[in-house]
Amino acid sequence: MEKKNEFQVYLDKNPDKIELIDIKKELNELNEDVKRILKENAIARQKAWESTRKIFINC
Amino acid sequence: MQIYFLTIKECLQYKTISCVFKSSFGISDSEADVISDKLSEFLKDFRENISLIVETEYIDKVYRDSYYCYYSTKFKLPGRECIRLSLFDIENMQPQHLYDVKDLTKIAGQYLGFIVVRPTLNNPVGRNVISPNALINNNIKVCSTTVCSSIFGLELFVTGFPHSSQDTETMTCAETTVWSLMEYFGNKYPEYKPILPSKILQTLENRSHIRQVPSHGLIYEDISYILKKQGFGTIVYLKEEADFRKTFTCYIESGIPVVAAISNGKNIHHVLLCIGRADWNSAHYETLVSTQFDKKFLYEWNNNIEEFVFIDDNMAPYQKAKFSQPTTHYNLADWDSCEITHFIVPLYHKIYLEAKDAMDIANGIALKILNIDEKSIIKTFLVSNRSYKNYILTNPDMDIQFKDLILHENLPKFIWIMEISTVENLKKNKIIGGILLDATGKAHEYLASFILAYYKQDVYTYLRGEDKLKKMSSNTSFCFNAFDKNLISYN
Repeated sequence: MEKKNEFQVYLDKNPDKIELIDIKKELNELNEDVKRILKENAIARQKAWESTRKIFINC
Repeated sequence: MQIYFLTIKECLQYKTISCVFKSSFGISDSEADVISDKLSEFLKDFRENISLIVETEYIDKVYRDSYYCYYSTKFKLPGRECIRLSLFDIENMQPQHLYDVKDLTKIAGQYLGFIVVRPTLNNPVGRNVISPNALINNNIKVCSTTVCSSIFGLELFVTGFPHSSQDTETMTCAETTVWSLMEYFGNKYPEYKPILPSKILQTLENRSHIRQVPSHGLIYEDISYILKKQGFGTIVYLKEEADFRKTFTCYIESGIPVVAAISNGKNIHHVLLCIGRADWNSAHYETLVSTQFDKKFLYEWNNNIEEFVFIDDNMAPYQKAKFSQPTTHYNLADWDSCEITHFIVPLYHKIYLEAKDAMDIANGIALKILNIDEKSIIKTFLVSNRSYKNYILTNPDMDIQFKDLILHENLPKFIWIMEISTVENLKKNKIIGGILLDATGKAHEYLASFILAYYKQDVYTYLRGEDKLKKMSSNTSFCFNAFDKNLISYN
């Protein structure tokens, strides 16, 4: 016997509860931000790795 | 084998145990006193009324491994055998307790762990796993694993974090930290195995261009290499980068022990494990500091945690210390200026979205897509699919429709979660929103890893290819218990 998704059952009975929102503008802004942030994060990872070399940890 | 019964108080006050060290290790009075003093220093954070069962001639797998790969080759041999102290939450435990069959289950329930004492004079405390319940002050939330042991044929289980002091000859802080970490993961997850000191040396044999014993420590690359060989995808973070403490906290809130490298910039280079944080009470919420995002102020949980819990091989387990001053409790001038310079994260090898990227993406979604309220409190952490669905299934305040929505969702093995709440709700451990991100996703665009979000009474999914958000309004407002399965509270 199938276990129904109660949330889906509720939405099927109440289609007015679904709204489609266009987020093209917000996404474009976010994607510009994310490219810059992720590039900065990737450079930080590389610097972190390079800075660890040749130090003996022994205390 | 000799068995003795005493309490921590007797151990601390009368050095009763000194004569056991003397006879069992075949050492002088003064040498036995050195071991006794070191043990007393180790035990001072634990409750004095805890009973100890002391077993001589104990064969410890870690020390025995070090013995045969190093100590046995020396002219002046230390002994092969150790002494084991088993801790019980019983006042004045007596030998007859162990013979009363009716008492055995009760005794097993009051087991608080064990400490191995090695015949290595200046660093005698060996492998130990002690429940934080044995601490005098245990308001901590930490990662822990269950370890099995046996005494007098009685099978016992303790939940805690594996610890050992370094012996300085085969294991410095670096090797001890790797051992402790693998002991934790190996006991907790079937994907990993505990590692012995000789195996650490063997793993690095072809990389090392100088002798390996006596140990002169490891370089960061060695630590990362060993962890990678044990199946982890390791990441290193450096103190100069943005959000250093916030990222560190994010991994701790995810229940991932982190290797913290500390230095004073001169002669001290040390590593320890961060395994959790001090527990919070309502007074802590009065000290929350907000962060400005464009025009909105939010409270970032991961930016507000200052006191963490460490496994440090120079100290007893579960040391609390501030992130900014991790070694002030050493009370040594050289150590006072130490700070965390790097940290190494042993991530599951298929987690591709790291904490900093996940937090930046979740923050953007919360602010620009969900438009969350000013002064909201946000907390980002990693969870496994299994523990998140268990949290949903067992959440007492969640309505069946929302439960079904999440339980029917195909989720990856690991998920980044951002929980959203108000300060007043979070004081009661309640949240009103959340964002789910795929931890196996690639961080090349904001919604590439987005699974779904919910806030107040709306659920959001993303219609890929249409650049549209599907908003579904529930008939009830969301307000249910926050996720709390990554760190165990012992308060």
